[in-house]
Amino acid sequence: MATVSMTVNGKSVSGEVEPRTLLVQFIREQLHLTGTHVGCDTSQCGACVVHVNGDSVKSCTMLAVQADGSDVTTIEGLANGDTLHPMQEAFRDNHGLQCGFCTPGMVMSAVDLLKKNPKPSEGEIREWLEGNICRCTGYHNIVKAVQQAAQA
Amino acid sequence: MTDIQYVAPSTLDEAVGAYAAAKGAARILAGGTDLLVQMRAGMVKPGLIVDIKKVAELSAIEKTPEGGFRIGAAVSGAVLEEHPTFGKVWPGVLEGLNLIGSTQVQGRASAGGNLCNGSPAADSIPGLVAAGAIATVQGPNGRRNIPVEQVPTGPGKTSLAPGEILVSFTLPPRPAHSSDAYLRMIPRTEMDIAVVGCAVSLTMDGDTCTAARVSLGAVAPTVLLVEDAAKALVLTKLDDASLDKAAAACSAACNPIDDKRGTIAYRTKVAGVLLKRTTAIAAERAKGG
Amino acid sequence: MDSVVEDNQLGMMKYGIGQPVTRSEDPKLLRGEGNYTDDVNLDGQAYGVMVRSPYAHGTLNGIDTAEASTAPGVIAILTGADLDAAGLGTMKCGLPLKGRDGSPINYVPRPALATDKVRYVGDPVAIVIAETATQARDAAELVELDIDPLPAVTDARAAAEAGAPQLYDSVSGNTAIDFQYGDTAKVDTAFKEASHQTRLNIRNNRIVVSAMEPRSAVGSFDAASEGYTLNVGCQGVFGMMNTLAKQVFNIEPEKMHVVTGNVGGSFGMKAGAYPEYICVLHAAKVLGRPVKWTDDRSGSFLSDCHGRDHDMTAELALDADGKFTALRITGYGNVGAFLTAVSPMMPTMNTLKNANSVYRLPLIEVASKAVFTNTTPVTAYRGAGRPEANYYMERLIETAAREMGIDAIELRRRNQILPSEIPYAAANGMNYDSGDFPTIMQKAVEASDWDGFAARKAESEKRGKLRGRGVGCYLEVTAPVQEEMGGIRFEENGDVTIITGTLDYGQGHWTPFAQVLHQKLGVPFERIRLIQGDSAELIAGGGTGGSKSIMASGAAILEASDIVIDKGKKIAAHVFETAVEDIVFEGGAFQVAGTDRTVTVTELAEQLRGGLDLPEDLPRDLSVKHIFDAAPSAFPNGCHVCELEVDPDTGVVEIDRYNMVNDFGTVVNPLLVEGQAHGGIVQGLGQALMENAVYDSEGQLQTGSYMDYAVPRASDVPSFTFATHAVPATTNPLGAKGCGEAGCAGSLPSIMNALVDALAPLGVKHIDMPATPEKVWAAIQSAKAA
Repeated sequence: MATVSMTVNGKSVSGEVEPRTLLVQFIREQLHLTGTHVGCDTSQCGACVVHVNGDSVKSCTMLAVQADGSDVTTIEGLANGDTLHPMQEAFRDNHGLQCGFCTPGMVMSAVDLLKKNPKPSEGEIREWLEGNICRCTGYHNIVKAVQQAAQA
Repeated sequence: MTDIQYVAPSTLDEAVGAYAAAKGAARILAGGTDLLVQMRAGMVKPGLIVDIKKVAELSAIEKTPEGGFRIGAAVSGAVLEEHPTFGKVWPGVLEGLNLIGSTQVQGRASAGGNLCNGSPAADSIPGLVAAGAIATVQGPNGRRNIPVEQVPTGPGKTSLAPGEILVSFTLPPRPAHSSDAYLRMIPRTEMDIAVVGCAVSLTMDGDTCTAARVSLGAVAPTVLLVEDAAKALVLTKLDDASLDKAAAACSAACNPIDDKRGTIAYRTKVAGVLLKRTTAIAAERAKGG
Repeated sequence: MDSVVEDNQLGMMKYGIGQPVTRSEDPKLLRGEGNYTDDVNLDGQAYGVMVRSPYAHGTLNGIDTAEASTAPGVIAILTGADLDAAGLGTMKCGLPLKGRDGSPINYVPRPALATDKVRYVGDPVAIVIAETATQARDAAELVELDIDPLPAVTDARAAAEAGAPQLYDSVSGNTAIDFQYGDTAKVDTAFKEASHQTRLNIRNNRIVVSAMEPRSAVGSFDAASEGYTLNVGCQGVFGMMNTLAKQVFNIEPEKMHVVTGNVGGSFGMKAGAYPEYICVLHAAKVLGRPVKWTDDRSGSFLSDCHGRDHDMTAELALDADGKFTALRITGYGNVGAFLTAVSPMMPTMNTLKNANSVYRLPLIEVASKAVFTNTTPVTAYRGAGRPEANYYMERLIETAAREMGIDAIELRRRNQILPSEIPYAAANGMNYDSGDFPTIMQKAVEASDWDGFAARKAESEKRGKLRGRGVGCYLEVTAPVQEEMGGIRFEENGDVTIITGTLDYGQGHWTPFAQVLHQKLGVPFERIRLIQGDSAELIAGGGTGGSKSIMASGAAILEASDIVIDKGKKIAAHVFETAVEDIVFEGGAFQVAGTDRTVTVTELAEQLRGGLDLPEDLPRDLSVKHIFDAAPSAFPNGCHVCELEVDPDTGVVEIDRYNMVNDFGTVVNPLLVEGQAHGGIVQGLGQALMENAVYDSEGQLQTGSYMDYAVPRASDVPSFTFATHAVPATTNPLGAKGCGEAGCAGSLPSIMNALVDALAPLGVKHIDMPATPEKVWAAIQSAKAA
């Protein structure tokens, strides 16, 4: 077992993990932050995307021990109290989610996109989101939501 | 599954020591994009994981005294993308590296990991081969340099000796009016694995190509350096006849497998198509630069 | 009219039927506060992992659990023998479908765990239960299966042939049903007399459903009440409760409490009971503690039911004017190794019902076999026969038009049923009640900038690309509505709860159902709640499936509201000291006719809570538990137009433009309806261009992960242009027609017709789905060689 400590959504947390424990398992099972989802086991679906030191990362491609000392933000840490993050608001306004399972990862990816490219074209949005699979929406309204958030 | 140990040494010597001491039971963790998937699938069960991200040399991007670049084996595509000049000099190398997985994986995936995984379809490798990159490896018996194309020896296999760790890639200095490009063909029956990848590196003198290197991925058991294709391009104006000849050389060099991702006929033909398209992009960039 | 009423009416407008109201559940889901099954953690829960057959077909001689039992953390390992000993029953298919000779469906009910034979790779044989999921997973690898492999068959046509490996001793020719509808002799004659016949062999490729949430279940058992509770994602808790209680556990349904929170997609796949649910429930009873099972994606590829997989020959007979005289579809449907509750329907009855589409068709015959193979069971997947049947018809029309030298739009016009011919009794037994098919096609054609195509094609050619355009008209026959609960409960805190047994897995039922109730009763939209996933609350529930939820629950809510109004009138009459006949209900309020004395539903509910002094014979509250009986199928329809480009050197297809005009009848919430269309189109796009589940000759799934099976990503799809031309249904109180599956029905034909249109100048006549780059490239090569 190894001890890991990190900041998650602004709070210091620590825990004992087996070295093979993935960051997403630590987040879901030990921190009980169940907003980060697991949709595959090959690092392709993107349901588990969180921010590690400000960058979007698939939390299934990282061991919890690798995140030791990091600053992690999950979907639960995105809104400002009662006020949704503009990206969350845009997803709601544009019906950018249906079943909602891919949504946390999709939103976290989209937030990182706008941080790096504040005015992306439709093509750039679609390319950026290629690591986030959505089976429900057909992506049309997700793209619209990101465009709206970029206007905000 | 027995307990897995994890170490994250801060020096290369420590990393080599730990890796070599564990004999075959250790695995190197760079970005983790392949290793963690393989572990979850039960394909590998390492006794020790050696995380090399904290070794400074493996994460460094430096200019060589000769004017080339040295890139640490654990440098991710996302980090390289942010380098002020690398992408201007080697846009094709960067393109290949940034095709490993999606954005959220590119933040972690490295060319070193891509090379050591030994996939013939590794996207970052043709660009390095076309660039003439030299790999530096270090093991219990010291350091050695080998051309990148000599590292993979077959699917999942490399020429690295037991205990050796890939340290860095050295790319040569660039003459004026040189550039490169990488294109790949995804069959769309699956997510991320190319059926053909093609990298071309060129130097132009006006409209004349004065130097070229061509590399193909996913069409043979290892990434290929296609010298005949390069010869067909050098000292030509990249006219249709030369491109046809180079494309034919690419098709001839292919030794692909027939699998569910693509038939031999398709891979062979598309290799030639991609050669032409990649060459056009590289030439355009070289003339501009 | 005073200003209060005006305000109220404005308020109602904002959330009324037809408004694009954003979803009430979204803030929770967007904050990561959704409650999916794997998010449920019960005190003391243990973790189960399934042991699955690595062989497609084999005799199961034994299961050695000795080593696994002693692995760290292992609590128990249950096998089929344990379930048998406990007297558990099997999962059955109760469809009333009959074969051509009148015989019922021939099959063997499914036990949760295999005992004698394994019949597909992934067939569960044991469940390992441990203190942690990791321990259970590690121990599951130590379970030794003694299996003698048998030859496997994975293709339906091959499985129906003489000499094929037989999955069941009692099922001859692996055939679950040999279905036939239509007058064979008359159809034969029509083909003989036809001026032109068009014939296509069409593969309806096998799909891995890929709901983004892997299946999960938590079983628990309360010894005191002898009651089970199952937390699970499904499409209707009432049906799940009855299946498990009556078929498997032999208990009263109220002893089987099924609870569903958020469901991360299903598309038909999560509708039925699965072996894992039975295992966790039984294990919970045996162990006296809750047991949780969550699949990983590699498991999902094998254990989630697949979709589609039909192999059909479609034929169209036409007279000299291009009028259709007969349609014939014959072939095979692959149902996998076991039947689900609905799986024999898709290649048979649903193909028949939907192939007729929007066309005048004197004769139709469908003759098809549903066949067992050594593959993962197949069940309903978005459309469940509807998209593919429309696809067969539209491909036939496009091909016939090309062969006969008639413009394809003109050929459709000559055959489309006109509004003046409706109601129309179709040859397949359906009665179309409403629709304006020619207008919809015309509007779609105009929306696509039909006349600009030639210029776009020329511009594509300059870039070395081949441009094609395809039309897909469709008409779907939704599932008929059976009993559905319409519950309305006025809560102590002032909320109004809708209770109904449809269940959404992403569609967002809460909001449109609340719009219906809000418009009907005038209760504040933001105070309306929805209970859909708690079997203890339901007195009926048909569940979701077949694009019927708004028709079922919408009608149930309307009827229940009428009962609320009746009750309210009686109470209001008492309050106002007048006769019931003098009370009118208007704008959300009970009013003494001709006076300004009014009380809203909300106010009356509040007065009742406060304690009104009422005579014995008056109701004590406004709450209602009602069951809506039935409504017939509705016929959503539309026309999609797709334009795409092909790169002839690589075979890569890119969709450039996509327009559609749809008739979903009354649209309660256009924002959500449009989203349903988008999602359906892209699932169709996936099937058309990318997705294909492939087995090797030994029955191993070759496409067992997202490495080898592609679902569409954002960069694979275009944006869409959506328009509505609504002709309300006459057969349900809302006038709705259902929209959930229509996107698929429009996109399969429009995309594939566009692709063949692009390649037709080279001599390509047909390409099967999925039209991957290599397949397109190969078709171009062989057309060039010919």
